[in-house]
Amino acid sequence: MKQIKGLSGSRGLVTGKAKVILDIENLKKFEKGDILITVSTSPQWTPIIRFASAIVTDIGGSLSHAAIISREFGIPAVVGTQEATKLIKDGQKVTVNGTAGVVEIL
Amino acid sequence: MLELRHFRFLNPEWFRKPQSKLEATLRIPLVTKEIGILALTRVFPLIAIFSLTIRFLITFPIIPIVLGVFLYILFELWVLERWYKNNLLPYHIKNIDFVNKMEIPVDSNALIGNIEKSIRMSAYGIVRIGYVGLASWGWEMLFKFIYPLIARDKEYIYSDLLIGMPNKVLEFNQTLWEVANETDNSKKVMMYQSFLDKFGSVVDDMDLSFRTFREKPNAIKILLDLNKDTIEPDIDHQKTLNRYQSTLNSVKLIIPFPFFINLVNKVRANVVLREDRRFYEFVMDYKIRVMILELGKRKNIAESELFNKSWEELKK
Repeated sequence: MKQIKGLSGSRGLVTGKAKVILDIENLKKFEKGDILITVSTSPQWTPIIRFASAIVTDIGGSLSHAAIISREFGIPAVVGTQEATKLIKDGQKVTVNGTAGVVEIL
Repeated sequence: MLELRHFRFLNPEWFRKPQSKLEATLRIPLVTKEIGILALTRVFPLIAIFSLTIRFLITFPIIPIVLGVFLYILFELWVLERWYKNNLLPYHIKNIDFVNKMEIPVDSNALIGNIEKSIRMSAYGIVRIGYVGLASWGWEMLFKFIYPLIARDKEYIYSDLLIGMPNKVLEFNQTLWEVANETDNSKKVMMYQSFLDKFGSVVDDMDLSFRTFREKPNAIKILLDLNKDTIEPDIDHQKTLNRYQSTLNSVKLIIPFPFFINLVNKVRANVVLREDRRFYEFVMDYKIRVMILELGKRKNIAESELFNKSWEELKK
């Protein structure tokens, strides 16, 4: 089990299937309830965050767009992990602990 | 040369991709110029006024400047939200309308003139809206610091008080949902166009080489499919609002509640402002891109090459 540390963006604990999406144009592989792993988010990402069960980003802090929006939707978020998009592979089962700011690859 | 990455300290979520040559030579010089104008017309004069006022009371050389900067920050935190809503945003919306209504002239020199004019307006808005964003970010930082000091219970859930605000993000999702779930096809087409006009120009980063949201039809189609037969975002929002209300009802404070609620409302308004401004800041980018792509077409330059050219090269 590998642990990735980041910052707490939004509290909560979720386990699910990870989808690494670097560009919003590659949304095809995303399914409702997936955990969104991305570099960072901008307003373009807003509609997809609504369907994610959690978010993990490489960049950003507790005041970032990803943190604000995930709090709004009540889903856990770990932000500023630096390398989540490199370490997590599509389809891997991960646990996102938004309260502790930790992601575990199961 | 000044590059976008030099601004990353302001917001690491932005300016992360390599900057195109066209952005570097067309908009960045004007953004830099606008930063200078803002500093000379607003930042330095305010610091000078506060510092000189304090200088009359304290003769020690450094303290008036330090206090002047401190008062300047407090002043800006207090007034920028109002300035944004009453002055800056209406002015910027007028500029957005002006650019969006610009025709694509047959004469290429006139087209170049239109691009330059719209870039000037874009740079003006980006710098000032960005400046207001710093203040709204400051409010949340301040609240994050103050909340543990004024809350009796030590479970620091300050962020639970910053949810459930009506905002552009919610409007964006609601409009998209309404388009996705419209059954009358002719009505759906009109609603889709209206959605694109209103929200389609949001960008992923500050660079004219990046396509805006409305230029990514495949992504929009997937988002519409995901929205079909789902709960309405407005209903979801009501749940968030309830979460906020229950947090607000449960906070135990060492200060009177009316003071606290005033502070919370001010911070909430600034958090909304910070997110909403993204829907205005770069909204001219779509039309500017359309004009630049048209100029490229006239000069037989492919899109893949277009943004690797400097503005001077493109103008020739």
